[in-house]
Amino acid sequence: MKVPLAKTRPRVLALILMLGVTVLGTGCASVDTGPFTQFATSVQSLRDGSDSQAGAAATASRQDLVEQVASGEVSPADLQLQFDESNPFVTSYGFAESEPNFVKLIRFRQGLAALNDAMVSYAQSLVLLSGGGQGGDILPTSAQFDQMAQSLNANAGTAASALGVKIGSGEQALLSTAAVQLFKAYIENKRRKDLAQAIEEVQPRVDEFSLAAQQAVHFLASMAQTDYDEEILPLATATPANATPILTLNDTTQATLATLEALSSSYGALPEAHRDLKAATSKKPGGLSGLIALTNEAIRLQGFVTQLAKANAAAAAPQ
Amino acid sequence: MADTMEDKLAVLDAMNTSLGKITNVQIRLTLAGQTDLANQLDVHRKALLAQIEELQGQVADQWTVDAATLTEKLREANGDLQTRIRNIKNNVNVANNAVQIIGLIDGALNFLKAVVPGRPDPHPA
Repeated sequence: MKVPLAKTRPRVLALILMLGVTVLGTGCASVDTGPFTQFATSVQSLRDGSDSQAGAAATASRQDLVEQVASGEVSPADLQLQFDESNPFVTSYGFAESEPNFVKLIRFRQGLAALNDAMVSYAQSLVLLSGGGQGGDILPTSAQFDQMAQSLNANAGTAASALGVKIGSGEQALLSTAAVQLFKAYIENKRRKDLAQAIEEVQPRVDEFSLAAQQAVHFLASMAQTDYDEEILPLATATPANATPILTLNDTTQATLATLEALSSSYGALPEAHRDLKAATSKKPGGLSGLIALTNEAIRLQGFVTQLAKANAAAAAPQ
Repeated sequence: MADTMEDKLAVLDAMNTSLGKITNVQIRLTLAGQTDLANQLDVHRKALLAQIEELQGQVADQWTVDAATLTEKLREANGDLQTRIRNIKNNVNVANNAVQIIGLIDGALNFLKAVVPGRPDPHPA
């Protein structure tokens, strides 16, 4: 089959020109993966920080129950598990008037971890889509695109001659190279649009996430306050009076609250940082202030976590 | 979710503030040797503590249920993102496949020319 080259060439060139105008109009440079990686790293820090705090709250609640049983406030009979009649895999604290709080806190911790995990997965998908995944970019590299163009040239050239189509080598190269380069630009442009669209669509969920996570942290702070008031009484009324354990308790409590405050601020900074990611896809000039704030909060959080670990180690040491 | 949860957290804060004040009074009474008064106060303090723990249990339960819904929404959002990634990869694969297919046609044509020498052109101009 002989293709009338004189007719097809202007059409192909017009198509390439149209694609070119479309792509150039929206820009075709790669997305900067830095802000996306930064966002994902910060979210991971929040996940680790909040899980450790929720774990500490569950442990404290369990210890509280142990002390209540020891002092006779709670009967050991209330701790017996009741097995579901119709499902041998399901148990509950059905013999007690109400389920112990530590069980609720274990569920709370799992819920908080699942919520954070969902956000971490989303943030990592954003990194992947932006081209910063650990396994490399989802798009071929420039070299791979060039290789694709060369293969296309070679294949198309031989196929054309086998089909009896006479095309000059320069024309073959012009056609396929331009097409592949435009395709590359089109895909890059699509990636940019997909990122921006996804970020915009998910923004309300991130706002909800931020609020829910801040409420969870507020709740943990409330638990820490109650625990403090329970623990201070025997220490403050002990004879002979001893300030050391009281000050150690104060240090640990203050370090815990500082960590929770940093966590709350970090979660509060998340929506703005997420909005900044949309700006990062379009490479608009201007600083990513929300993302910088989140990163700083995450760094501050790490500092408090370190301080808290030191305070806990000091509290565990013999007084 | 926000109103109810925020309200409960605000009540918890207020109850904790009361607990702190009662605890301080009880400490001072105990240290002053007012054991009877301190013991009487301790009954009320423990009752307040029990109420706080009850409310904390409710908050933990409610938050966990609400968060599960939000977690599901975030998972769906992530699923959409994964679809976008797959679509882009598929687009690249289509181009790669096109290159491969042209190569295959090219090979098939060369093979045909080799086995059917002098084969007439099926589509003469």
